[in-house]
Amino acid sequence: MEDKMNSRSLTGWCLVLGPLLMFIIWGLLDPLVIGDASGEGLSPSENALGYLELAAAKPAVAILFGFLGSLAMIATFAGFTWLSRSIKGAGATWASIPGFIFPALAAVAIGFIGLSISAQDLFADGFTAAAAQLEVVGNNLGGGFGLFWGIGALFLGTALTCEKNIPAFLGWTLTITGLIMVITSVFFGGQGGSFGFIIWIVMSLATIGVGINILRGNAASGASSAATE
Amino acid sequence: MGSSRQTGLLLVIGTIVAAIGWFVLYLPLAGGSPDTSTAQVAQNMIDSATRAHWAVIFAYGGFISILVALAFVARGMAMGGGAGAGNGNIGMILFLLFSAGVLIVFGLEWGAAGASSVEHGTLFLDLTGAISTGGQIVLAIALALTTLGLLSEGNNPIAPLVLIVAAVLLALNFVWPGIGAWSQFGAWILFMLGTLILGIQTLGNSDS
Repeated sequence: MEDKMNSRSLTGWCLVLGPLLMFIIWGLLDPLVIGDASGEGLSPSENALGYLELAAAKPAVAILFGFLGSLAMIATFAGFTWLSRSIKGAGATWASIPGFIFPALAAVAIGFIGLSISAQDLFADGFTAAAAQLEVVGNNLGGGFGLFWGIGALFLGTALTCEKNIPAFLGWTLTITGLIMVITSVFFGGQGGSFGFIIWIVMSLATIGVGINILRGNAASGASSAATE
Repeated sequence: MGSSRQTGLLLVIGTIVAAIGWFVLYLPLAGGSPDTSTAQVAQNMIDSATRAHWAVIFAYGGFISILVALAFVARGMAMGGGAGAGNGNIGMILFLLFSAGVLIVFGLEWGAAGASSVEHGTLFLDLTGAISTGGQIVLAIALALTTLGLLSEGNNPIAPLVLIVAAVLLALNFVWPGIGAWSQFGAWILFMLGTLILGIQTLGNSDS
């Protein structure tokens, strides 16, 4: 492991901690501590209002979870961006596309957390309808996440596989899960339900694996010398 | 695959896909007229949700491909250190910023196609309209800087000149909203024509 923080180790830590924290916060803590307002047959407004009511009971925790979860997501995208831009060898052409897509996705994530926090503030001030609308808009802001995250992972995985500096199965896993995300987004819409969640978990594990490889310095050059000093 | 071949393919394929998305799939949903109300467009999208989803994928997917390719063109100039390096540097950042806005619009239009009510669909479309109006000036500046950079580096002038006219029309749409639909339509037609020519030129250069 690197003793001091440099751009290479920062890329590694972002790829390890980003997906891990997203899963812990949004997958485990948020439903356990705040609660789950989603239900069959509810309209988006009813879902949004349900969540805002639950969040209003623990406002500080809800805002903290939203902030930390988004920060973890932005860290993941930042890690992907630096990793893509560090690839100079055979996979450079493939990596140039995710190097452009992931920072744009990070900007969308920043917009999402801004709207969500504003919706909670509006709800606390009694503007229920406006808060629900803002929350619905925030939830839909990431409607393109599945498709474009998938495209980014597909090309980044291909680039990593071409580079051969990171275990090939990690590159292949990113490629295949990215492809599945693209297909499910295009043909089935949304996040793909439970199947989409499993795919996201597999992709997250591969991302963490790539991050660990970078941190251990297993790959001496190219991709894993990510954003080298 | 070389990077200039990739850029050329993104420009050509992106333009064709976007044109199918806008003119074949999306335009009938918009009633084929700029006077159609947002609520009516939202209703049309909800009624033809499958078509609307494909329209969004084609139109915005193709558009983002074009923007990625234009950013690559700008980055190429910035890294080349030639006469257009300064313009390319700013153009690249503006294309990236604009792409983030297009990703947001993609999500909202996708939401409009699957909205549970016309009220929500209209809200989403009003927001996309607002973002698109503001975004025009960002795209206009990015296009103008990048194409002026291409011209200053002695590239074939046809595509840059077409794109500069598109940039002027986009800027006019922003500063003078009442200019009329012809300007809006002309800007996007010229934009697509320019990117298509630029893509063909880039592919030609990569082969030679």
